[in-house]
Amino acid sequence: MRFTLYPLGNEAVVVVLGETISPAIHDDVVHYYQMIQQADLHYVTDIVPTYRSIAVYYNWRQTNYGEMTDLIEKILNQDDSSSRSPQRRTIHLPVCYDEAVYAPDLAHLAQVHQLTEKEVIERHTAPCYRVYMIGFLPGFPYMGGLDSTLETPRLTTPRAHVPAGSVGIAGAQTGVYPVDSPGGWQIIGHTPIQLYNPDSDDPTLLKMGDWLTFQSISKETYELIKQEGRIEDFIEEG
Amino acid sequence: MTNQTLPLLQVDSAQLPLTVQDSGRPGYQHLGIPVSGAMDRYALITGNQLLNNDPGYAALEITLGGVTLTFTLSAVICVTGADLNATLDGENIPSWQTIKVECGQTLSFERPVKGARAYLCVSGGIVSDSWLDSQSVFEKGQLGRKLTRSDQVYATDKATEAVVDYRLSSDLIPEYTQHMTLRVILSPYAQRLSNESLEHFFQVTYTFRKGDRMGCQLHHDQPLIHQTSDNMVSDVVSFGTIQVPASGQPMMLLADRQTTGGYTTIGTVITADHWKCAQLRPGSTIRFQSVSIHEADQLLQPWKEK
Repeated sequence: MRFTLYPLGNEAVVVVLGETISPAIHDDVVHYYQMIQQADLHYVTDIVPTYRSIAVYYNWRQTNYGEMTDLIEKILNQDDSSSRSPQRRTIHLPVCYDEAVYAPDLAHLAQVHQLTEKEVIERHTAPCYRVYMIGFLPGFPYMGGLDSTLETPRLTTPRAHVPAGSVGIAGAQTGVYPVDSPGGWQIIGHTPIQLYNPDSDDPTLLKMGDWLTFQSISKETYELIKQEGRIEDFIEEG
Repeated sequence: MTNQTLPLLQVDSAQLPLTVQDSGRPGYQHLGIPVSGAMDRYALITGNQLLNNDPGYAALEITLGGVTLTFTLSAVICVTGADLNATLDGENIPSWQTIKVECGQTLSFERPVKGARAYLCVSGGIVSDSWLDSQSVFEKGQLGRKLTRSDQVYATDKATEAVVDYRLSSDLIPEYTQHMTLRVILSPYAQRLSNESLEHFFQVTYTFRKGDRMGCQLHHDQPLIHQTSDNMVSDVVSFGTIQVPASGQPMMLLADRQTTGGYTTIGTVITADHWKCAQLRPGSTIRFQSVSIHEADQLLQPWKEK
């Protein structure tokens, strides 16, 4: 396996597996992330995967960059690719694309692409998206796989307030806001599912390496799920 | 909480961010949750050590002043970090030293004399809500909120236990000068800048423009120039990571930074200089100096015992 290491200040070793967004590079990220996690190294405080790298934060009071790179190289070189697990978790996220209430930018986006709103929804709900990484906000998924005909630039003037649960498009990316935030994404729907719960020990629904589909639901179903929905009902393991 | 919780003080005014911070929330960055915690770890840890607290106990972080507090409990406290002209009932109080305060006394942090952030540590620590193993407030992630007028702050029944007049030896008290030199370990992406720009970055003096707990903006009249695009596929960023967006004016990320970023990075400030980053304020000037990771390990040796 080819990789390079670099020091992120004196508190982390970064394993670089590539420079681009690609499913093959990300497969490596998922694989080595799991290997480093399973090695259960002493003094490690955080392991942070991205599209194409993994940062291993360590307690600099107890160890140093040299010792950590030795340990990490050993793990990466031990690699047995046959151990790659085909396990994957898919989350089917219900989204209400009802323009009047939840999708302030849907009509405009459809118009820009010369599509009907129904066609936009069909194209947005068709793919199974890969969650490449979590960043920007707690639980915010960076996803790949958006239908290229839906690519739309960010709003010229970002909104001061985008409510948690908003589903949007920015450039070639699609995502969901887990918390209220200012933002410039084009909002085309809203999910009743809570993506972030800071009172839980497992605070974010989505994890790096998950797969996600959007399921179009009516306003009535939205209300029902909001009141009674259990997250487990929308997760498929296997 | 096994200790009894007691009301320590009431906030009379807080014009600038006033939050509870401890040693932070490591272990959740893979979920996009920043480490947060005291911006100036050295000041937090030292204050707690003088009070015989655990080093990471929660304290109040006071930014630039504008804060008045009235004690509703007698307690032993220690103020560390910036000199914000702290007064108790109008009289100046010493920093980096444990002192006794009485119920009814008023503590004010008026204005920044030196540095930007002070810490009010109390014997036994401050009691507040905890999320994901930390009391550190991070509003953007719905983890607590800034303190405002009339808020109560709580302590434990150990608030009077610490020894009074215990002080830090003066050679260990940091100097918060108007000009700071920050030592940086280069990132591999520094090569995305032109050679001249990278040299320039380490030669010129930057001015601190504005900032918050998330990061700060620096300025020099001659912007840095990318030889490639300013955007790259996102990579990890940390406390002290210096990013260069298209404007060519560097930004430095701090305690509440996001966990990943897509701007070109020049490098990351070493831990031994993080306290300097926390104490910058409008008008501060900064120079950067490049060090290798091996030099940094040597420089950090004396800090490992702290």
